[in-house]
Amino acid sequence: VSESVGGGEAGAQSSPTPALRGRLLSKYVALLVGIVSLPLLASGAFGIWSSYQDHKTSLIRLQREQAQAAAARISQFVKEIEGQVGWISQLAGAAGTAEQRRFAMRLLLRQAPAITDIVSADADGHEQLRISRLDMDVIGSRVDLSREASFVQASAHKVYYGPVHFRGESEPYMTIALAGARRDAGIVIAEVNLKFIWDVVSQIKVGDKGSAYVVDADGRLIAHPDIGLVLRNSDLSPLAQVKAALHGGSSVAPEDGQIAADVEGRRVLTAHADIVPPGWLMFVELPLEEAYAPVYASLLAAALVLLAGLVLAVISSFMLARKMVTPIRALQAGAARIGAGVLDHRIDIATGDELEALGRQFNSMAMQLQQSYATLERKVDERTHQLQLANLAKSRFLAAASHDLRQPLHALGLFVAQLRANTGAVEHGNIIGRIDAAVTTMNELFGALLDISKLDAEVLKPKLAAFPIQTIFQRLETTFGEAAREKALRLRAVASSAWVCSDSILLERIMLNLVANAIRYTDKGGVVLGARRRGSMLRLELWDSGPGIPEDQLRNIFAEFYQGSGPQRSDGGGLGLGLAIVERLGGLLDHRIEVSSTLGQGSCFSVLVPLAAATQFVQPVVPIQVIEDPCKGKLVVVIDDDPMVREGMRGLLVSWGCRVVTADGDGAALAILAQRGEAPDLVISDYRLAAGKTGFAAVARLRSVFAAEIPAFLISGDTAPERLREAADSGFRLLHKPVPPNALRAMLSQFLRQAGAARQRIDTDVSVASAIRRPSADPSPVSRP
Amino acid sequence: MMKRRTFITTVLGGVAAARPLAARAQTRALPVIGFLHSAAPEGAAKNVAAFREGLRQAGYVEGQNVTIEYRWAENQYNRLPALAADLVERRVAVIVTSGATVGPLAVKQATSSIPIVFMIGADPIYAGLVESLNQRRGNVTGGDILQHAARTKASGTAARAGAGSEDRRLLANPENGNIVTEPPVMEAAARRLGLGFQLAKASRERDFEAVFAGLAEQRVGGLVISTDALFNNRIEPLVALAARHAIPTVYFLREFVSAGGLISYGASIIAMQRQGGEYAGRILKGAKPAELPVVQPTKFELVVNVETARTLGLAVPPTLLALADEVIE
Repeated sequence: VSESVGGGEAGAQSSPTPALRGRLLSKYVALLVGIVSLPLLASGAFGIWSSYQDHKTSLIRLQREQAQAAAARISQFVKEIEGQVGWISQLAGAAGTAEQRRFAMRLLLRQAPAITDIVSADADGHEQLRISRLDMDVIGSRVDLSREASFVQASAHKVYYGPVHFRGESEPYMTIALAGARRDAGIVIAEVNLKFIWDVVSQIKVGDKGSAYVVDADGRLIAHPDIGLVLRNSDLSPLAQVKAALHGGSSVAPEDGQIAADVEGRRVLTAHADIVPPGWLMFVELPLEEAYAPVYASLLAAALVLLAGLVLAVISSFMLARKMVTPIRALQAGAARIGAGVLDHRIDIATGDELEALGRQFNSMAMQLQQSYATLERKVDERTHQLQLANLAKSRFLAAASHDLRQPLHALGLFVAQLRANTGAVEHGNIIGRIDAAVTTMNELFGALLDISKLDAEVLKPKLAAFPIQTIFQRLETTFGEAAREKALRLRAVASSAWVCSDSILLERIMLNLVANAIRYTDKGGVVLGARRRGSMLRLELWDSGPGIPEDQLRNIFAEFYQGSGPQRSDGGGLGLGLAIVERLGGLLDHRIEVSSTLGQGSCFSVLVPLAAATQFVQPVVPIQVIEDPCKGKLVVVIDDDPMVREGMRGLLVSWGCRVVTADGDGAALAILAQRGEAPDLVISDYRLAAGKTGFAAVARLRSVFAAEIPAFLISGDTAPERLREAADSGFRLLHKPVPPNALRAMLSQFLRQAGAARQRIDTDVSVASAIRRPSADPSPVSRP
Repeated sequence: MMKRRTFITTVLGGVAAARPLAARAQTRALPVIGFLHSAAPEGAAKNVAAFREGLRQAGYVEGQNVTIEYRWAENQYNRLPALAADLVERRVAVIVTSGATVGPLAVKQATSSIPIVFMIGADPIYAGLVESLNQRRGNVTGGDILQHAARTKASGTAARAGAGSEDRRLLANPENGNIVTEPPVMEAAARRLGLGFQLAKASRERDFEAVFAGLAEQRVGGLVISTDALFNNRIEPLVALAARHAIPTVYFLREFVSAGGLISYGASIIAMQRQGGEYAGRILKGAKPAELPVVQPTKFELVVNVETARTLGLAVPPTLLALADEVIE
């Protein structure tokens, strides 16, 4: 069972197993990777984003600061020129000759290379002195400058920054005019070549490839590291950043750095600052790729770290998942192996957790399975051994039975030979007597064998009833009185008033065998039968003064064909089946049979019977035998497929006064009966007929043809337990071959006497039980040592 | 003079012959700059060196990654058109011309595709080389030393610096275009100071002697040497003649004063040559002339040779000394 179940489970498990393999691992890996990676990714992405933002912000701030610093430098450049011009303006008001002022102004030109022309005018706006790098000095021209913007603005605001103009459409110039401290000091007007700002601008380093440049209020380029751009008089106002700065005005300083295209079309990060004075704009621009290079580098680094983290997470997740899954797989594989019947397989998991506990439980389960399996096997072995023993016993039994049957058969053969040879009347009578004895012995043997067979087939069903034990005691005394007297033994039954609950017939059969045995094996002294109360039981005891049974033989005496040693065996008195029948009957009735013995002193057999309350008991009245012979003139049909049996039966029945019809089947019988035109009084049929027919069917056929419950019984040579059971179930009475003539006669008389009653219900148990019971003077011989 | 030229040619040829064959083979693949000069190589060595320096600043070294084809007009300006045509024919990458405006004009006429870098002393717009200084189109760019702009100042200085006679002269080369533009400016300056003015001409070195002898005879109080490739090329003879005839002379280049001339006022020709080299390099790198504005000088230097003044018996005013950018003792 365990194998088939285990195999079935293993088969059921093994087929889906390959499809499922690894799914748990991938699930765990996915889950763990997800758990680890998502926050990592999220934090990494956030880190990268925020660092990008920080960097960008700081970059923009840095650039704005740079722009402001550069603007301050340009502003300082302008302020310096203003200061130098201012010195001249102070000088102009101060006392001094025109020649001294002219010298001072020429000196200024030498000191300030950016100033190309310088003009001083009096308070009325008349030119006093004009000094130029390229032209001859003009002294006292008194040209009217009072309407010039430079004069007007400087007079009003002390200082004037003119618009940037480009000489020859190329070089940027600006006019600076300053009023002297005193009202009558007049003003000084200077032309400044702004190309010189290049010296400042080209020194401002913006990264590697970045640049700083200056545009005027109109967006025209004033200064750029590439002076060519300036000299080409570039208008940068179309550039987005310049346009935005010009329109945004100075008050709105953009918080965000702008990304725009520079004059060469490169993408740059740009920042600007106002140059006050003179109201220009300073731009600082860094190529985007250079500006963001560190950002990209840090992004790359962060991404690499993130990637490394992810890889680490995946690897560790995989390892963790494997660590988790490995014991589960070990469990799975172990369970599969155990399920497949490898019960000595042990699951080895050392995780120290529930899985290890589970593994241990699997192991203990497997161990228990293994143990129970072993137990089962041992039981099977034992049972097989028992069966072998039983078979052996059967063989022994058959050997013994055939031996015991051979003896009388051998004797019969000898006697029949004597009969042929010897024709003397006296001798004839003696030989017939001996043949009779041999036949009787054989009958007894067959009867006993039949009993054993019936008991083994369990066709007997005990019919329990309460009855006084004394009835059995009395019968035993009566039955064995004669036999005891012949051996000069005392036989006494101690009277008992107890009632027992048992099957009286079967219990009597037990006692018959026991008493017969006791008398057979006892040579002197006597046999005492008694009863003792033992609680709710009654113990029937049979004491004898026989030779006793050796202790080592006490169990064996109940075996079939066991015969005690000693002279008793030679007298041919026992068949060795008595105690075997006793034991079986005891088992059937659930009465315990015990034996105790002392060698040389005697034995005691006891039977434990449950006590019963005394009720009114009607002593069965033995019916008065009708003297009239019931057989005379009765028509008896004998059906048997064996012609010898048919002839034997005809002769016997005719000698008893019957009219006889014999046939080999129901068809032949009906044909003869039809000729006679007479219904039979009794049908005796063989159980098994030719062509697979049975006696039941034949009888049934006759009964249906004659439409009457014709009395009938069956005779069979078949003692197979199944046959017995069939017969019992059919309700027919059954005699077993060989049938002693007196038994046949008794059966015949009984049936024909009751012929008046058309229907006769036959109680199977009773019939079989009475069949077991022998005539009182002829109990089943029980062998004993 | 011929001997000296032969010597230089021989030296240059020797250097060329000494180059390894592989390097010479390599030079064939190098870009070629055509260098056209109105004057002669002797006396222009500093200018050429300055040009090479500018070229090196732009990343080019002659013989390593650039070849320069030199064409010298030997101060004979009528040879310039033929030399220019030769360079154009050779399909050089860029033509750099220095000296009289005749040179660049000849090249401009010969090609409208090969970039031209000029280094002149005249007004390039007036000369017809470019339409504007900020240069929005065309294949011509370059630099001038703003002599045309500073000439008034220089003339004034020259007029004032004279001594003795109130007669002032301007020496100009009749083959140079500025023979038209320069004299009126000088004359106006002289008139403003109440001085007399006349033009003196010389187109060949051999004329110098006669011109100076004449000026000395006329007791000229002051002389201005106009800016011209021939004059700039023959600094020492001119200075020597001025000294010999004791004529106070004003120049445009400091190199004259360094050589013993009295006074100079003007921009640096060396700086211009350097600028020309840089522009040539930038054009070799792919820049277009239209992207390169004409460069004008911002620095004008007053150089005074006190020694010469003393020799001439001139009293140099302290204010002039104070204003001078350099005073040579």
